[in-house]
Amino acid sequence: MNRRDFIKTAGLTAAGASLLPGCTPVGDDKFEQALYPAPEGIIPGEPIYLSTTCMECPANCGVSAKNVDGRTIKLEGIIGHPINDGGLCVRGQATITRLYHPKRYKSPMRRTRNGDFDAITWEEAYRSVWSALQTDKSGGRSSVYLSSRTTGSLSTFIDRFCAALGVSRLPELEVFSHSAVRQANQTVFGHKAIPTYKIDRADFLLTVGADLLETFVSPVEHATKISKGKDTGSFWWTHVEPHISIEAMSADTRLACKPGTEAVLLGYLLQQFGGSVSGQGPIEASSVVEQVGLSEESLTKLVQRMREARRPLVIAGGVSVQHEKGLEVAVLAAQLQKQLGSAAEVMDFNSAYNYDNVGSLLDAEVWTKKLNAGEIGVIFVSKTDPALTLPKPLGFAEGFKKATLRVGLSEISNKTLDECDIILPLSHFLESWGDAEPRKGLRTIIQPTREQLFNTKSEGDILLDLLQTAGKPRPKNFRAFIESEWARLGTPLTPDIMKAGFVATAAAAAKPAAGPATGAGASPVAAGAAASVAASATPPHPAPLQVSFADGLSAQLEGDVLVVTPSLRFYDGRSRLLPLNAQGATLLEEIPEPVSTISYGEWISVRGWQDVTGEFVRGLDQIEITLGETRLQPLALKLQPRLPDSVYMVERPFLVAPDLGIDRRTGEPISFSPNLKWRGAGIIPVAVMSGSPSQEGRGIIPNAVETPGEEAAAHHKSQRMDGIVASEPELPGEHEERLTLYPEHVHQPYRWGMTIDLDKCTGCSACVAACYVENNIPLVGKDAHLNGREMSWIRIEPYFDGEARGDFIPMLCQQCDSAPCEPVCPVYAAYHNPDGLNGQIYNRCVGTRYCANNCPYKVRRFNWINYEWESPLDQMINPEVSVRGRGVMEKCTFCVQRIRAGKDHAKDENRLVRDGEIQPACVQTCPSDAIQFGNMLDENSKMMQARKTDRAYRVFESLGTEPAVTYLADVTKEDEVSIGNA
Amino acid sequence: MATLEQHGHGSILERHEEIERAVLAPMLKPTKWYFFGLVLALLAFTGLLVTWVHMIFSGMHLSGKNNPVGWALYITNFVFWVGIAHSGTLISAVLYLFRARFRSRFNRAAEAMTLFAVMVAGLFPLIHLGRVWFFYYLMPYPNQRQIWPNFRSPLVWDVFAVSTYFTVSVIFWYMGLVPDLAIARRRTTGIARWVYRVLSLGWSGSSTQWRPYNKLYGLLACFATPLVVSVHSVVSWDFAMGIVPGWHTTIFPPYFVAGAIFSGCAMVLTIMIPMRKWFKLESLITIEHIESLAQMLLLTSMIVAYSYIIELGMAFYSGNIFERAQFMYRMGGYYATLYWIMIICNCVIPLSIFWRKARRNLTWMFFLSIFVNIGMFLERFNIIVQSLSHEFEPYAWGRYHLTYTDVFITIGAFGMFFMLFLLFAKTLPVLPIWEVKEETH
Ligand code: SF4
Ligand code: SF4
Repeated sequence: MNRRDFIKTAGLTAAGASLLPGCTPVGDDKFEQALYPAPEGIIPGEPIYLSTTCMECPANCGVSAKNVDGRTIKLEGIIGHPINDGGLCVRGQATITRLYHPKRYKSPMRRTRNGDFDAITWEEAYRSVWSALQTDKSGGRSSVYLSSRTTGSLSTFIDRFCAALGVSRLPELEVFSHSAVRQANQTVFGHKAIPTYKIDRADFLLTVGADLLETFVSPVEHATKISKGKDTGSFWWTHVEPHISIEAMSADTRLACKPGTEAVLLGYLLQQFGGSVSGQGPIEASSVVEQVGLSEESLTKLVQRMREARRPLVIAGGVSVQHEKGLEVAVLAAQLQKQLGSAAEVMDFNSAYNYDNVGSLLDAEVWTKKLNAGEIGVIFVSKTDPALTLPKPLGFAEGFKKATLRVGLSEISNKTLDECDIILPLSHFLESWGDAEPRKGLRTIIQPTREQLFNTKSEGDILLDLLQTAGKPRPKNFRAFIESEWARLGTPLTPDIMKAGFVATAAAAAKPAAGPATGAGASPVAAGAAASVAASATPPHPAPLQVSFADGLSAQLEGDVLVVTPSLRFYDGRSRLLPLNAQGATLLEEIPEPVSTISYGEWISVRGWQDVTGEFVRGLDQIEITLGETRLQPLALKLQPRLPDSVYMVERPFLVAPDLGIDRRTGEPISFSPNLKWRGAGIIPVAVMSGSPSQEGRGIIPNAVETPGEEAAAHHKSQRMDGIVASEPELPGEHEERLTLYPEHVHQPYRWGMTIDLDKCTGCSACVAACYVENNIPLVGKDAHLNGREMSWIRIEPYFDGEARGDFIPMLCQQCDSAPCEPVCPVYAAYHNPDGLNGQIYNRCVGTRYCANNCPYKVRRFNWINYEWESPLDQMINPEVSVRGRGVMEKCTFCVQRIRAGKDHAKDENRLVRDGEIQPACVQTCPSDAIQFGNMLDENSKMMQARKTDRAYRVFESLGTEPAVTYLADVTKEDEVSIGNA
Repeated sequence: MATLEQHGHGSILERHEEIERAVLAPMLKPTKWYFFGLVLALLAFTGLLVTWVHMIFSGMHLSGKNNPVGWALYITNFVFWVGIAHSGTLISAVLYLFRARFRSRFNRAAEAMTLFAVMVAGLFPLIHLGRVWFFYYLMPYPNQRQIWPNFRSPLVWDVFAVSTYFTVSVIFWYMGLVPDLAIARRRTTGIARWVYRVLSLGWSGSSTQWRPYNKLYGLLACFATPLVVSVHSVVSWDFAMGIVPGWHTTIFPPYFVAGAIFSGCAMVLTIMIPMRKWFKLESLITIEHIESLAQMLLLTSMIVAYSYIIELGMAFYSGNIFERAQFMYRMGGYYATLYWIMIICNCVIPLSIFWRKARRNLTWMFFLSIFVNIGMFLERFNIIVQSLSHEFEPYAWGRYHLTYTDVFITIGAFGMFFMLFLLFAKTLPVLPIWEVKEETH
């Protein structure tokens, strides 16, 4: 798509013109005349928003891309979208750096003999592929097409392509295939699918291992729904897992179980609710206590809570279904759900997630065998990285070398793509046409939000061109194909749909829970695709597995156990991009993982309190782990409070082809390794951003849980000393009278304020990513982080205090009314603006750093050097925010550019700003709706209403800084760690 | 050469001649050691300039500061050098008013020290600026945008305090020099003579000149005296006005002033003891003079020690958890070694001055003065860096790490100071001849 096309589309979509250009009979030239010089609906400098779908992970959230002067600069969740309703996760926010990544493939490439890549033309690339396909046919080798989860028209088109050229399509490769859960659902509910969990309808949520907020199916959706559930006032979330994750820190009750024992607990619960566990006698509470490692008390509480709940919801997943007894866990969870009787209310199989084509590792085993046997000639690898994710014993790396032609499709290189012979560069989803069908009954549109950056094409267009090279009939272009598909499915692409970004169709009712369902059914797309899963080891819908629990419920993991967890920031590794600037930075690594607070580096967590010094640490001990035959690369050893004893935790993307085994029944990867062997290997630099795991009684997060013991009481007292107020904080100007030479600030008609609900905040760090992108915050890289020179304006601080709790608090500039940073600035660069904001005038700043010293919240950031925005990264710069130069202090301003725009807009209409009209980037993206922003002078604003609770407090109230940010304390949390509380 | 006091007989003229010769002798023949020292100092100073210029063009990342620790060695240096400067004014003005007899042996050097130290100190606020090319934003200058500096900021007070201090010190020093410049004029030839003639402003030494001169000098002394208190009080406000635990305390002004005099006296000793030997001034600067200075040192050392105790006492008595944590950190945290070295250097070692033997032992006194210099440098470092690294927000705690740039710039500051001092010793009388003469009457 060229620039003109783009402007045309953009103009029309934004202006809501009657028809899409593609559907109009009007000639292109005429259009251009009509559009130039000032396309209707586009005002230079005015942002336009284009709806599309985030393809960074399989959740497929709806995003609204902000485009200014032809450049996409920011993504926001589509408000009202059935999946994410305005929110967007940290990866979604960061995907824009994938779009503008300087190391993206810029043209098709061919590998030379010495392993480099040479640029070639598309023609050459197609011809090589086509001739290799022909050789395959004559040579009796098969050609295969491997991709990650693909839905919608693209999936249909891949099928068509494969059929036309005799390529067999492999089951889609996702490590997080949720196959255990799908199988369990088939056994229990008769649907081999993952339902939509109506968490917001539930009043009790029990999650077992499922990392709802990180990688489990649809994280933003879950966060949104949990938040909505909390709004109902009767919602309790208990999370069980063997390690510690953001779910553990966000749930109301966290129960840490011994690794591999989840099924014991679930079996017990099932029996408590009248179900039976086949092959098992009654499970005694005492044996649960002993095996699972929970206290009797918390067990009783759990049962009681479940009994009281009217619509309980049980979700198992994540690492808890990735051990030897993983299937048992999944099945028992499903049975428990069924037994509880609320399944129909809280699970919706009619809008099940579209995972029908997703294979498991067992499928991967089949085709890697073929690969190794030399039976495969041409292999297409699209948007997936088997070299990283497949377990080593499958021998992907070796087998891949035996293929005659390896064709990689991706935007940017990864481990697999580096081994390919032909690289077909993909356009980012923000510059291509497409659609997706994340779940049944929901189709979303993908449309270009800007012109092409490089000589790349969308996957559909590439396949289309290949068809042409092969002399087969093809649609005009992929967009035309999509339009025809949508028309065929009865929802022609209208400007309204383009604007909304999605269409919710009535899904055919899934068959009730009687016997195995045939086909995923409703969607012809999926059905068609399912038919072509030829190489699959398991037939698409085998008879439900009969699970017997006779051989015990515990996986018997002995000794030190390694748990391989999904990654909040990198998913399965796909979101971990190459370094994108001279500092070797990437946006997702710039943002610390919230539990460990490590930004750059690879580490393994083990129970412990403080790192060496209990402060900002430059280097950590390093260990080497042996898994099976392989010795892993040295990993830093991070002492992690609240991690159970003898549990070692590592994120999956840090392990290349992790050799932990495959569950033969479900095809899930095994994520546990008992009897861990490791040895020390010196010191490794890793950027740990937190200076202390404890708030040392400073009341940053008031610990409202009554904790027994003298120490805890003392702890409590010291907080009181710091003047934590348990009531609504005063408004500016309401403080006691004090001696001052200066008049009090007068704010009229606005004084901006924020309320952050710590009960809702999950530490997901989406706000941090949004802030980086919105405010042109430089990515400073590992060295700067090691030196403590991070630039984040908002950060997520974890504190591990109280008896066994962990909490997050987002810390940003508090826009103090009596700001310590203001009077000390010698040149008025830090000043108080009439709206009560603490402004920072970059071009006045001389860089004394006095303000930063004097800020008690430590949120000011100094530009130590000039950071370059390497092309094309410079195109993601928000023109509304100045890029700060060397020697200047910067900080959060509540997105003053948005406030300005909102006020201007209101002024044009001769009114005051409406509540909710202005949303800073962090507020906008927060999937949990934890942050409210508004005018403190407006008693009725949502933000002021939210403050009217006795949970409201301000951090360091006693300092008299009078922050404009009010936090709502999290009063509900309970925590129990099974094996000693660190 | 016998000391002057023993020189009871002989005509006054003879004695005067002798004093003049002794004082002016260093101005005549530079030795190779002198050149060696000068070159060394010059090199160090060049090092400072080169690293600074590099930093201006590349960025503040070259200095080891980071997010919690926004000020470190440069501000330490600033406070240290302002402190050094103090003794000069104290010795010349305050002791002049009190007519302390040992004053004349030190005041010229001490005043020069003041000047040079203020010059060095004045450099540091510039060095530490992120955008030094806009340093003039700190000055109140008329501009069409009508933007003024923020008069609430202690940094702006600093600008005024230090520049006033510098101006007054220059005038005071120069006033004291005029009669001696006239003597130098008499004893030199050629170009030097011409320069001294211009500088001595036609001083003839007639009583009509002496009478207003003495009045003016006394007046200037009165004027300079409050500066001893004010300058370092203002500097201490840089910290005391801050909210940072470990900074925010009312004891800072007197504590800083005492500390300044303490370190200043130590610096005078560090310089005068070798100078006395190399320039053969034993006859003019006697052990008794050194002893008097040592007693000053002892007094201020005890004030400083008292302040340390008060600081700790307040932190624990107040019950403020931030203060308390701060001082626990000082005594037991990452930088605790530095804290304890400081205590030993500033509070323990100076106690030896109580023993007459020790304070009359010049070698000991020299080393003691070095210890005090180290101790006082560390005191500033502790106050600045430690406090910042352990502030309110535990997540944001962090440490400062020394870098080469910081080291070079600090060494360069000493280089600049000694370079200026060495140049001064070669070109101007190091002792006030007229005052020494007066005292021998
Ligand atoms: S406040 Fe930030 S970290 Fe917390 S839930 Fe919202 S986006 Fe996530
Ligand atoms: S939080 Fe810090 S930077 Fe923000 S207004 Fe308060 S003192 Fe200033």
